[in-house]
Amino acid sequence: MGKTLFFEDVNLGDALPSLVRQASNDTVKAFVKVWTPDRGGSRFTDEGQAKRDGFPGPIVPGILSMSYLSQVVLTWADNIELEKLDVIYRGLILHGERLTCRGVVTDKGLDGGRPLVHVDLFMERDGGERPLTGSARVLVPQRLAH
Amino acid sequence: MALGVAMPEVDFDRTVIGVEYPVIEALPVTAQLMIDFARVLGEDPIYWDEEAARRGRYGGLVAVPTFCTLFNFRFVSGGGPDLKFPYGTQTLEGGQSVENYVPIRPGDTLRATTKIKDVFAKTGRAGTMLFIMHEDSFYNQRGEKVSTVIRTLIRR
Repeated sequence: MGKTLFFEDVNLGDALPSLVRQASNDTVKAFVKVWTPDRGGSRFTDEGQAKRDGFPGPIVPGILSMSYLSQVVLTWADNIELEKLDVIYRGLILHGERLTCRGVVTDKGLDGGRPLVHVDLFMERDGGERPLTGSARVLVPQRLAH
Repeated sequence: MALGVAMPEVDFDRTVIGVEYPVIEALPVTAQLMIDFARVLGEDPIYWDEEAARRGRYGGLVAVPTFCTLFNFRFVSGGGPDLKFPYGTQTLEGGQSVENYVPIRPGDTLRATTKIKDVFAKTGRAGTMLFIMHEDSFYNQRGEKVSTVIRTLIRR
């Protein structure tokens, strides 16, 4: 087991450990093979199709970048639970872009006795642009319950 | 109606909004599918290594929280409501929301329904865009709701 986190130790403004992700051509192709194994070339893997669809090149599927953002929460601690994740796609992500995924605690409280923490999430390019933003609701156990 | 401006003059079938359609009748969830998905995402070993999963908080493999988004294409490629929507030439993903209630484990059989939750327009720098919100609900073989996925597609 790795890190354990308790509700009492979480503070508003806490930054979650950031992660760097980079979806290469091979990563996206492997992802699409699991996601839609029967599908041929698409805007996600095929340069020509991406351009026909109006994009500058093959793009990273939204659910792949969404999953990258979720990992900021999933790697925060081993004993927590990601209950809800919302993301807004604000810009295209092309293959090979270096993206830093970050999170910050914006709220915490007991909801019907359940210890919940709210986190704002965003994915940032080296230039500071944020092609993906979002938020998460996370169940973080109370120390008293243990 | 959510945030937005008056709907541009676009004719579509409003009667399908809110109507639930079955899309997936019985989808067996295999350990291999869960593992393949988690590995390609680069997830923590508790989502793809059975031994690490056994030592983890769930006592065995469970699906990653974004697992149900894996089936988006089943909803897009047929079975869902047809708005008969002629607006725009390009479809983009606007956003997505996933809420999980019960862990998905190998051997589960999922059933899923979809409905159009809302349709609205917004006008910005890029002109008017139409937002179509789909709500997909997933249930396991015991009838427990395991996940809700809300997908927002943009037509422009």
